[in-house]
Amino acid sequence: MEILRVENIKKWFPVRTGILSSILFGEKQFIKAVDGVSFTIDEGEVFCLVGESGCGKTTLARLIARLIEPTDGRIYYKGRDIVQMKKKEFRPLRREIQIIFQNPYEALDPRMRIYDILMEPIKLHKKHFEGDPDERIRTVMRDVKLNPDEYLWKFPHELSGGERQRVSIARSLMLYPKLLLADEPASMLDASVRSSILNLLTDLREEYNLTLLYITHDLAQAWYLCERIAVMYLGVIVELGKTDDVINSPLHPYTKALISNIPIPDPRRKTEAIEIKGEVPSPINVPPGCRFHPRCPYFMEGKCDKETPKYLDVGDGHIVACHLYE
Amino acid sequence: MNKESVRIKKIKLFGDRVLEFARIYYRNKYGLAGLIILTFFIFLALFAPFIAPYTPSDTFLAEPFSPPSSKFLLGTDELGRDIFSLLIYGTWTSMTVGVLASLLTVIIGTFVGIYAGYYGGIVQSILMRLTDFFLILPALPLMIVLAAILGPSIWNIIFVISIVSWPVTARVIMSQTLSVKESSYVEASKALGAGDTYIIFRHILPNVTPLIFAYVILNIAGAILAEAGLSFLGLGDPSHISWGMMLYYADQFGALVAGIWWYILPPGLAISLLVLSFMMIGYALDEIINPRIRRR
Repeated sequence: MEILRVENIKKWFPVRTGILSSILFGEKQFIKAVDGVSFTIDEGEVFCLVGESGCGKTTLARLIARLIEPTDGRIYYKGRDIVQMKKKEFRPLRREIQIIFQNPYEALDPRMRIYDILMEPIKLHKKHFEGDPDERIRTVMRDVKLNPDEYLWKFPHELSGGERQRVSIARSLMLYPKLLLADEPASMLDASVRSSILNLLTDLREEYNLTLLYITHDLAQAWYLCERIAVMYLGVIVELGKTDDVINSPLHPYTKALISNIPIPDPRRKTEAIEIKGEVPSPINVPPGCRFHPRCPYFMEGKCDKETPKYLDVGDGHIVACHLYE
Repeated sequence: MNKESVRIKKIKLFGDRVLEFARIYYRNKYGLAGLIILTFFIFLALFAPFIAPYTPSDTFLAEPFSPPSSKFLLGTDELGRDIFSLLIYGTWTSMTVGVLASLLTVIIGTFVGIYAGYYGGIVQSILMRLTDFFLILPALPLMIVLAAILGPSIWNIIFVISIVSWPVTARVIMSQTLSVKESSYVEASKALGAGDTYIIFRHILPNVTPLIFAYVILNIAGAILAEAGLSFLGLGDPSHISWGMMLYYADQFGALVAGIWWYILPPGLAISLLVLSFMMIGYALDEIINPRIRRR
């Protein structure tokens, strides 16, 4: 059953310009962080958004958590449009949609003890919380593999990055969420800690019956964790499909390049890393036609730089937006 | 664990932190010296009637400008008043004006700074321009004009000092608010449905409090100097003797020209010493609160 449906969501941030340039250039400029993204997530699924930094992954997560309002588009949570919903109406749903942030050093208030940090969700939803708060805090701490007696009265600065990220996860779990938006929760941690956080998320997903939207720039993490992958480039999804399909038979040139760059710990296996030339273009001046065309090795002049590619279903829900397959 | 035991635990932890703070403060030599000087002045201000040999209204008209002696420890002024007693009574005025003006400054500054920083928009723009305006204006002439218009009273002096100094505090608080506002833990609170009031009181205020603390103390030093300056120019409250006003009278009756040093030096030194003590405490607090400086 579908839990989340995102339809053609857009978020354009206005660019601050001086008076002079707005007179000279006339029209207002926008950073098109997310520019028409659609996908659905089924209940209990682990869905991955992959893309390099600046492609709009984080903006998308913040849109779904309704931390920012979209410029256009719809987000349906359990069939209800949460974009149109009034703030008051949405508030009870906030318990079910929770978010974990990338930087564990910024995610916890430095002046609060772990106890108070974990108490916050309960305080904010007093009316809907049943049971003993202290007991709940201890249970959740054990769920994220932290010893309550040791950590409960500590300040965040007394904890390591991995421990902080666990507290951060614990806070998001306090009110039994249904949909967890994980915005690169492991990317700022050491490799050893990273795998333990990934394993923790896998365990928690079963225990809590979570649906996970996992955002990462690391295809290897997505491969390990997810059932379906969506590859984002410059504010749009370029390829989407089951993890095995996308990893084993990537269609979009961008996906191909990303996958060829996953290091494989096998010296006999030779892979040729496809190199993408150039840098990601600015999201203010998005290239016309296919957004990837200035960097694409299969660039077809007159086609790729003119027409925007349509989404093409090649079977089994594997979708790609590329002129090569039309 | 029930509610009661959580509260007890929290009180105990708070006590531990206070002790820890006291221990760190004790190791800071400047801070300790400042605190000792300040304690001395507070003692003088509180127990003035018991310490001073005379009151400000005791005049020995037959003995004006008499040099220090065993009868008058620091000599007398033009009305034959005991300067030592005036000095002790003046402590209260200088200190009260300093503390109240600084509190008012920081309260206004905090309120405006948090409001502007958190809500942004027009309020922020107005505040920025206003701060620039006050930074460009020379503060002393502005205070003189305001004090002259409002008339001499302790409350007017407090008001005038705060009105001139709040924008600087507001700006500092605003920049701190801006950085706290953007942090992930505020985002996390919002994702849990926290409103603006909750975020301001639970996250922003606790994170700017250390800053407020240090600013109150450092502002007191400035306010004491400002009060002394205004009183020296004859804009002080004549019903409350202060060190600045002693200097004003000394100047008026030609103490400087006549070389009556016992009339000029004591209030001048007292002002310097009190200001110095607040500065030392302020910097010590800043050093303790700001861990980046502490772990040098």
